[in-house]
Amino acid sequence: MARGLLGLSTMPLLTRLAAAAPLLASDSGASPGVIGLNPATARHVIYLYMSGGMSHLDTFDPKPGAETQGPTQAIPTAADDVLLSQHFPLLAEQMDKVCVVNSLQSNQGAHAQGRYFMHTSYELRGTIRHPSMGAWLNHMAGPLNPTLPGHVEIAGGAYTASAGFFESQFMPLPIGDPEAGLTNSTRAEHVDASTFARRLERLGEMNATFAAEHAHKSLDAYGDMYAQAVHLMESQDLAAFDLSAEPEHLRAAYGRSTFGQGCLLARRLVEHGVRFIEVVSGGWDTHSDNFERMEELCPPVDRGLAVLLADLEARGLLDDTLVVLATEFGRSPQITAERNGRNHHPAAFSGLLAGGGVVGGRRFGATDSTGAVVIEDPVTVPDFNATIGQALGLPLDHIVTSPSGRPFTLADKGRAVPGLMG
Amino acid sequence: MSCDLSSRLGRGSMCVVVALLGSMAQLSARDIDFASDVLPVLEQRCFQCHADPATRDGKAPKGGLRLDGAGWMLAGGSNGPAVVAGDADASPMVQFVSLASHDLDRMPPKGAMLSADQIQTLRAWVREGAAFGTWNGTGGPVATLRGPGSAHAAGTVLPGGNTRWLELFARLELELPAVNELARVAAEQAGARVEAVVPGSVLLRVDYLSRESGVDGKTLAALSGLSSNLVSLHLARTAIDDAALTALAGMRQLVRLDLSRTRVTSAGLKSVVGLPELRWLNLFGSDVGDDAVELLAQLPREAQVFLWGSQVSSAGVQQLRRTRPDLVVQFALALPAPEPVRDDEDG
Repeated sequence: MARGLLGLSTMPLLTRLAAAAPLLASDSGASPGVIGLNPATARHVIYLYMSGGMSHLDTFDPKPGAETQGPTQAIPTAADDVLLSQHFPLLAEQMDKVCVVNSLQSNQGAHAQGRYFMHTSYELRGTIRHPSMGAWLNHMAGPLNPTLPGHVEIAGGAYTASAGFFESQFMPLPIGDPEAGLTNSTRAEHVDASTFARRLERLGEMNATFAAEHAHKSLDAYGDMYAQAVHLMESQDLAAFDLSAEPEHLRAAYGRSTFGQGCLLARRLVEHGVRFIEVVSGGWDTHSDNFERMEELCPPVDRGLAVLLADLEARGLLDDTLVVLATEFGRSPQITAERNGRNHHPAAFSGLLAGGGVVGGRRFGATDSTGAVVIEDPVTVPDFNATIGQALGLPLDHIVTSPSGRPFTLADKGRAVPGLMG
Repeated sequence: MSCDLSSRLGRGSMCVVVALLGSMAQLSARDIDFASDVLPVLEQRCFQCHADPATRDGKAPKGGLRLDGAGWMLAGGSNGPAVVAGDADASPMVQFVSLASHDLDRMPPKGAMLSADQIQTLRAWVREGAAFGTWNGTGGPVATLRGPGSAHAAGTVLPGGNTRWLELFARLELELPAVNELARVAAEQAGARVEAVVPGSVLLRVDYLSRESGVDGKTLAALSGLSSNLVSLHLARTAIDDAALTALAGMRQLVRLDLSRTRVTSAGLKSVVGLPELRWLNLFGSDVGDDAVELLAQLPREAQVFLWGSQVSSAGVQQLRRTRPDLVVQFALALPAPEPVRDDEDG
C-alpha cells in the first residue's frame, strides 16, 4: 500500500532521474546495480554473552612469552594467523569460519554499565532505558515467524537484555533453563480446550468495559501479549523450544552444560525463524584464581560454540546467521599478587564474529605485546554494534524518538567498521 | 512503464530523490543568518559553559564542547559534532535544547529553557545547512561536515542475502519484470511470506515459517504468478513432495532453494537442477539418495549444495566431487567426542 503510494508520488521525478541514478550510485562507493546500499548479509543473530568480563589474554588474545601471560598457553588453529588459548581446542578447528576481533575498546569499567553499553551502545543513565540490539532488530525489521517472539534470551539470570523504551513485545522472552524449554506453555491437565476458550472469552468480556473507558497503547500491548501467548501455546512452533527432539549424540556433543544446551536451543530457534537469540555464560569476573577458573569456564563455551558453528554450517544455516561473542570488558595483563587474578580492563578486549557474511579465518585489530592497549584498528563498542547492524541491513542513521521525545539510533554514533566483516 | 521503472530503480533512486529534495530545500530558503539570528542565542545562553577556558577562569568547557568557534562546533564534544548540517534531529545541539524541562540532560541546565522561537531558529539554521556565513569566532580544529545522504541515510530495512550472490542479484534486478501485486496477494493468501530482498526490489524471497505443515503442491502452485521474480525460496520442513517441485521448473531465476528436512527424493530434483541461476541448494535431512548424484552434476557452476543428513552416501559425495570439483558440497558434521565424565562434580 505504502509502496504504491510512494511509487505514484515520485514517479515523474524518478523518470527524470533515471539516467542520473547509476552515476550517483557508483559515487557512493556501493556495489554495482541497485542493490548496493547497505545490503544485509545476515537475517538472524546468535549472541553469546560472556557476563563478568572475559579475560582476553586467557581466551582469544594470548601473548605467548609475555611475563603477564601466566600459565595459559597458546595453541595454533585452523586459521594460520590466529592463536587461541589452550582452553579452546575444539573452537580452534572451526576458526576458518571465525573472525577474532582483538581490538575492542570500551569506556565502561563496571559490570552493569559495561553490559548496558555493550548491549545498547549508550551509557547507562537514570533518565532513559535504551533498547538492546535484539529489540532494535525486531523493531526495525519485524518478526520472521509470526507465531514466535523475535527476541529470546537464554540463561540470562537476573541480568537481562531490554526492550528499552520500545513496547513490551520487544522484550526478550527469558528461558532460564534450556533443557526445561518454554515453561508453563501447556494447559493444565484439568482444563480442556473448550473450558480454556470459555475462560478467555469471559476474560475478554470483563476487560471490554475497562478497555472502552481507558483506551491506551500499553493496554492494547497487554491484550496482545495474552493473544500471542495463547496462539503460541496452540501452535506447532512450540516444538522449537523442545530439546528432547534432538538426537542424544548431538545433545552430548554440544555439552551437557547450560551454555551448550543453550547453543543447541538457539540453533533450533533460528530454524524456526527467531531473529535474535542471546545465550549468556556467567562467572567471568575472575578477580581471584583466574587461571583455575579459566579451566572451568572455558570448556563449555569451547564445546558449545565449536559444535554450534559446525552444526549451523552442515544445515546451511550459517550463511544467514551471524554468531557474535561479546563481553563487557577484558581483564588486566597484571596478575594480582594477593589473589592471583586479573582486574577489569576496558581499554582492550576481544570478541568473535562468525557466519552471516563474515569472512572467517582471520583476526581483526591487535593489541600490544602484553594485551594492555589496542595498537591497530581500534573498534569501539558502538562501532562494533554498528557493524552488526549493518550486516543485518538495518539503517544506522534511522532515528527513533523515545516517548519522552528524545532521538536515538541503533548504535548511537557508531559507524560500521570497514573490513571487519571481510 | 514509469511504475515499472520506479520499482526497478528501487532503493538507489530513492536516495537520489531524497538527496535532491534536500539540496533543493537548501537552495530555496536561506532565511536564517548565523551572525544575527543564532549567535546571540549562543552568546547569551551557551558560552558561559561551552567556550574558551580563558573566559571561564581556566575551567575546561563542559562536556568537552566549545561553541565559540565554527571549527569547535564541528569538532564537537563527548556527543560528537554539535551540529550535523541539514539534519536537525541528528544534531546534539538541537537535541539537547529540545529536551523536556524536567529532563536532567536538558540544555541549558540552569534557568529557563530556550524559547520555542529560539529552538525553531536553531532547527531551521541546521536544516538549511548550518552555514556560518563569515563568522568564524575563535576558530577551532577543522572538522569535516557530516551531512545527510551518506551511505546510511535513513531508509527502510534491507532483509537477508549473502554477499556471495549479491552481484548475481544486481544483474537479475535489471533483467526481471516488475512484481505483479495481485499475484503477490494470491501467494500470501496461500500462506507464503513474501519479502523483497531489498525494499523496492523486484527480487523476491518466500518462506512459509509457522505454516510448514500446510504447504503442499497446491500452495506452490499459488506462487506461479510470482515465478519470474522469485530468487530465494525456502521450503524447509514443509509437506511438499516430488510432484510439487514441478512448479519450480518455471522459476528460471531462482538462486537459493531450501528443501531441507522435506520428503523430497532424487526424482523431485529433475525439475530443479536445470535452473540456470541456482547457486545454493539445501538438501540437508531430505530423502535424496545416491541416485541424485548424476542429477546434481548438472547444477550450475560453483553452486553450493548441502547433503548432510540426506540418504546420499559418502561414496556418492566423493563421486559428485570428482565429477564436479567446482561445486561446494557440504557433507560433514564432525562432532567432538563427548566430554569426559568427571565424577568430582556435576558439571
